[in-house]
Amino acid sequence: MRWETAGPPGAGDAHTRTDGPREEPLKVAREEEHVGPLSFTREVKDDGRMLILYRRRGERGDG
Amino acid sequence: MGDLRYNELRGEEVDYAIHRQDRTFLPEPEHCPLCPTRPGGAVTEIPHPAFEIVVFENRFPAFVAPHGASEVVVYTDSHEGSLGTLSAERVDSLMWVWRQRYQELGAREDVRYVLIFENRGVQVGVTLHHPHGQIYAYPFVPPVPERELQADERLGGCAICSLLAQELEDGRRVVYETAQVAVYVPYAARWAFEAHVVMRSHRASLLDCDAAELSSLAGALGALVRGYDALFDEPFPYVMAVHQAPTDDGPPRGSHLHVEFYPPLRTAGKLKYLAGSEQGAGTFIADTLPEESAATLREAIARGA
Repeated sequence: MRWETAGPPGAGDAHTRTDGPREEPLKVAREEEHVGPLSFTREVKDDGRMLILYRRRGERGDG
Repeated sequence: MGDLRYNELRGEEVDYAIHRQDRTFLPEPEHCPLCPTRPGGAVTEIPHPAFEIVVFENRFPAFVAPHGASEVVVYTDSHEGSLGTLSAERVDSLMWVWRQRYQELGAREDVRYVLIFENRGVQVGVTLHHPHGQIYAYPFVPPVPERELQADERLGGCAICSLLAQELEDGRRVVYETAQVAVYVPYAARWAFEAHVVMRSHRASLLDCDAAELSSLAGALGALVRGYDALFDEPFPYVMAVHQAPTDDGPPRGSHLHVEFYPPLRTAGKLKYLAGSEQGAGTFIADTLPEESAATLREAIARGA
């Protein structure tokens, strides 16, 4: 898996925090993975914890 | 981070995760850590303005690598809702998320059992109301699934297959059925409205289910929770546990995918407490007959449909 860092604080990407600069930018795996009807991407949170975002293919954030 | 001690008298592990004492406790909705991070708003656990389903490592884990894992599964970016109010498609998606986490966590050498579960309601100790579940990946096979495996040995085959056949033949405790899934209040239920959601075909885990079976399981879970909420016309507390095959290195030992619900209410506003007999002797004293509870629950599921 290829890990990349997201843009710096204030760069305007979806991962930008609003409570001031962070020590380490989020690491985001740019490759989408798939399971059944879902796509998912992995990130590493500021404190090193893993986070996975799942999205149904063809669906966008309908809550 | 966590410390396992073996309780010789009970023959079971006890996990000391004392840092959990300080975990977030029933915050106001505007401070919910499971809501999305809105532009200009406080940063939550999920640094995105919208999402569908998210899994992340628990900030207050009971188990952590290399001795297991603790994860949070957030069902929706809406602060309100439940398995019963999410769209059918979203609950179907959740089945695939569960499947993916079971597969990935179960493949780890330090994980011998993956428990997907949900605690709903302050009556069972919920500390965050946002619709979510959890996953504990244990470095051992815990006592409850171990007892189910022992039941397989005792009955000379899959215990769930045998019990399912008996329930379907009897029929009095069955509350919901599809071609792939049956839901019943078990013959010897411990809780008044305990229910088991069982795959009709023998499936050791979510990995063995096809897409239609996963959709049917999702539909059954939604229908049951809507029925629970219709019972007393209020959100119904429960503990939900997904039982699947252990992921240890041993030979396959049976197991039959099913989801157990343990609701603490015995009637509207009255909780079943685990007291002297339950805690001191390990014998449940039940206040209702499963056949009567099943009839009530069956009607509630019909009302909630």
